[in-house]
Amino acid sequence: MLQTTPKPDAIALSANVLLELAESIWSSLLELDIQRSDDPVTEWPCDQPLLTGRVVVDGDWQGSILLVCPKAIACKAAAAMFGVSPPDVAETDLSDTMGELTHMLSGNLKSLLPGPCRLSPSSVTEGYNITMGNRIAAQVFLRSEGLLLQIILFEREKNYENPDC
Amino acid sequence: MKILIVDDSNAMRMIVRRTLREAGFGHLEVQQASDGNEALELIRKNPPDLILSDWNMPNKSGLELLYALNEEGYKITFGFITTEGTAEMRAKAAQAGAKFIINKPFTAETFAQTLGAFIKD
Repeated sequence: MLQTTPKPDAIALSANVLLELAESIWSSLLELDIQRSDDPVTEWPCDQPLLTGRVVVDGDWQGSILLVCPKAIACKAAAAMFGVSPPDVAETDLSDTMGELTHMLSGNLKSLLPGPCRLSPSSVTEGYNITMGNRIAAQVFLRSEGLLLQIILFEREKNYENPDC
Repeated sequence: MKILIVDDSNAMRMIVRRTLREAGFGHLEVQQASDGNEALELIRKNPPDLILSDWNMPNKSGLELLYALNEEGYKITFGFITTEGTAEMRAKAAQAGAKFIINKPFTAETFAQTLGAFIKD
């Protein structure tokens, strides 16, 4: 069951909360397996094309929520959502699916953030598209179908302009 | 009975259709719109019995669609399917006359339980 009550210590969100959200989405909508990856990740496999979904949060809490996902998994997710086989997934459907997954994560996380805030529409870009600099409020590495995924919650630091937030 | 699904994500509209089938509502006629404006045009031409709408959409949001329907005097059962379900949003939705909010992600059981009260064979 997802927690929906705002928590004052929300910016100290644990990786378990992110895992729980991802499990909920993966199991109920995609019927794909997902679990936490406990292996230390030093670099992403270079032979896997990646997609990065991003939603910016503005309001009492400011930051961004990112989902980094191998294209292969995004393709399987899109296939599950559209009811087609992975080779039949169109590029626009892939982006639509990644955007919706990122927005679903963000919408559920929003209720755990302190104070009122707004979510931007989701944007999806190719590659590991993350600019470091802001504080990582929470992150988790996951594995779905054996491939690595990452969910990151960046909290915008005051007086720091960053395209991720 | 006709259902109108309003969501800017084609993927989510597909999932909602699939979940309606899984919840036992596969026999119902389903229309789709990608935002509030498109939905309003469809409703004016052929009003559905039930509207399942996303909250955040470009051009006209789900809440703006509901306000527009109220202004035009429509009495169609209206529910939100959204990623966001804050207390503030729930209050706004209820005040505007929405009958329910289903949070994404959802299951067929949630659909059956929530929509069962509003769907007649």
